[in-house]
Amino acid sequence: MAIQKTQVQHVAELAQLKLTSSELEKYTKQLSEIIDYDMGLLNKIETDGIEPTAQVTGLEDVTQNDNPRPSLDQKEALKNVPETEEGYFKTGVILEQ
Amino acid sequence: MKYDVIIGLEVHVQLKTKSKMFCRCSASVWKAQPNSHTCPVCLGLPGALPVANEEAVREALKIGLALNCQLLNRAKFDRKHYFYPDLSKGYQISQYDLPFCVNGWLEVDGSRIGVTRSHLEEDTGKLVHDDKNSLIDFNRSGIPLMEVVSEPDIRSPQEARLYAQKIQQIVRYLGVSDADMERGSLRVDANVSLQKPGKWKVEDGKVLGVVNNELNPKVEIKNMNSFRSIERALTYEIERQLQLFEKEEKLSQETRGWVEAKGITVKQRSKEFAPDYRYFPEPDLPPFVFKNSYFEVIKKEIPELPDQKINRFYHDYALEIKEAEIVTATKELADWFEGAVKAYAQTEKEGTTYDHIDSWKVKLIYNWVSGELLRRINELQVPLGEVKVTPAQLAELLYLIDKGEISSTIAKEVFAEMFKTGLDAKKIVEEKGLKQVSDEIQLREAVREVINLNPKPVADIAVGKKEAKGFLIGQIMKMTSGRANPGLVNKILEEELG
Ligand SMILES: [Zn+2]
Repeated sequence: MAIQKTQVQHVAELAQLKLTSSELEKYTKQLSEIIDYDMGLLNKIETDGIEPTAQVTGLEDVTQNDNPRPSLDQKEALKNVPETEEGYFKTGVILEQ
Repeated sequence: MKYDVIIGLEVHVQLKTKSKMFCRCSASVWKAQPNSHTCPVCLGLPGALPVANEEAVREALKIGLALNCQLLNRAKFDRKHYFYPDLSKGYQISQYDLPFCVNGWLEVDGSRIGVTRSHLEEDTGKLVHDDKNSLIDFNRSGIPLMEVVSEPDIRSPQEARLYAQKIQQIVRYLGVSDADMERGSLRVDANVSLQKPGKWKVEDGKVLGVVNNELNPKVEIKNMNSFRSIERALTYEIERQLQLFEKEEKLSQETRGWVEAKGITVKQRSKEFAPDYRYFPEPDLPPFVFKNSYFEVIKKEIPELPDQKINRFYHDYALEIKEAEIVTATKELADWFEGAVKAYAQTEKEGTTYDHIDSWKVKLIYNWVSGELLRRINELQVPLGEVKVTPAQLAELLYLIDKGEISSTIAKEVFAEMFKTGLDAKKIVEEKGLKQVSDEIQLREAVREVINLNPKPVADIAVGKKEAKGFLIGQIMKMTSGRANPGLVNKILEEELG
C-alpha cells in the first residue's frame, strides 16, 4: 500500500477533519489506489536526463528595481473587508502563540 | 550531573529597502496609518503576481558574504504554508532547499559559531490583540526579511547575546538594516537544550543522540525584545530545565515565551493545527541563476567589516584589541576616530598628507574619543551623526595642547564648548580667554600670593610634608582659573619656597 494510515490521519488534521476509524481505513485504501494508479502512469514516462523544475516559462532572474510606487489607500484596502476597526482588518479573537 | 548547554539562534533582520520584497509598496511603514501601505500583492488578493526586489536580493547576498557563507549559483523561492491571520496568502514566500546563502560562520569572542543558512523571505502583517478581537495591519506584510540560522554551536546565554549583537553590528556596517530590536527590525528566537556530555553530536545543523538517538527535548524561546532579554531568558530557561532534571520530572519539547516583566518563560499555546509547511517551489517567481562574476561585483561593495577593522587598528595604530573594539562599535564611530587620527597626523606636519602617526598620539585620540566624546554622546543620547564637533576639530584641540597654548584640563572645558556649539577650539580659547598663562612674572605673583595666604601648608612643607605642595599648586591653579602652565608653576613654587 502506497499510503499509511498515519499519513491520512495527518492530512485529516491539516484539513481540520475528524475521521472515525472505519473512515480512516476506507480513505487509506482509496487514496492508496489513486496514488498507485497515478504514479503508475507517471512512472511510464521517460525522465532520464531531465532536470526537475517547478517552472514552465523558462524564465530566470526576474527582478524589479527598488522604486516604490503608490499603494492602495487605507479606504480602498479595506473596501471588501467584512469587519474593520480604526483602519484595521478585524477578526475574531486569536490566541497569542 | 553536568550537562552541555546547546543553543541555536534564528535571527530575523528586516532589510532597509525602499520598497517591499515582492511588490513596490513603500517599505517605510514605521508609525504609518494601519493598512496604508498595501496593494493586491501584499494583501494576497487573487491573481496578484509577485516580482522580486533586485536590491533586496543584492543585500541578502551581501549579508551572506559578510557571514562567510557560500553563495549558491542556483537559488529559488518556495511557499511555506500555514494558516494564521497575519499571513495574507495562506503561505509565506521563503526559501527552502536552495536558499541564497549556506555554510557560513561568525567569530564571537574567540569561538566560531556556524551559520547553517541565511535566506530571504517576506515579513508578515502585524496583529493587535484585545479581549474580544484581533486586529490586522498589513503594512509590514511583504517587507524583506533575512533569516540567519545558526548551528547549535552556542554554549552560553552570554555567547548567544554576543552572537546576536555581532549580527546587528555587521548588518549595520553593511547599511542593509536598522537592526533595531525595540522596533522589531531585528528579532531573535532561540532553541536551547541540555545534553549529557559525550551523548550528542551535530549533523547537518541538527543535534543528534549518539546512542539510540536519545536526547533531552529542546525548547524554543520567543518574545525576547532586547539583547539583555536574550541573555536573561536563556539563563532562566537553562536553570528551569536543570531543576526539572534534578527532580526527575519530564521536560517537554515546546515553545515558550519570555515574559520580561516577570523574568520567566511560559509555555505558549501551540498553533491549532498539525505543523506541516508543505514547502514547494514558488511557481510565480522564476529561479535565480547567478554567475560567479556577479558575486564578485557584490563582494566589492562590501565595506571593511568590524573584525577586519579591529585587526587593522591593532596593527596600524597599536591599539589594544579591547580599545579597537570600542572605537569600531559602529562604522560611523570608526570613521570618526580614524578621521581624527589622520587630521592629527597632518597638524603635526602642517600641510602634508597623512602617512604615519606616533602610537602615543593615537592613544591620546582614543582616550578623547572613548572618554569625552562617547561619554557626552551617551549622556545626551545624541547620535554621532548629529554631533557638532568634527574629527578635524578634535585634532586641532589636541594640537593646541601640544603647542602649550592650553592645558589638558582647560582642553576638556574647551571640548565641552565645542560639543555644544561646534565652534573651533582656537576661537573658543580666544573668546573665553583660556590661553595658558606662561608669563613668568604674572605666575610668580600668583605663587607669592598663595604662599602668603597659606602659612600652615607652607610650614608643613618645611617639615617635609610633601603632600601640602599639591594643595598649594591646586590653589595657584584655582587663582588662575586653571590656565597656569603647570610645569612653570611647579618650578616657580620650588624657587619661592627655597
Ligand atoms: Zn504591496
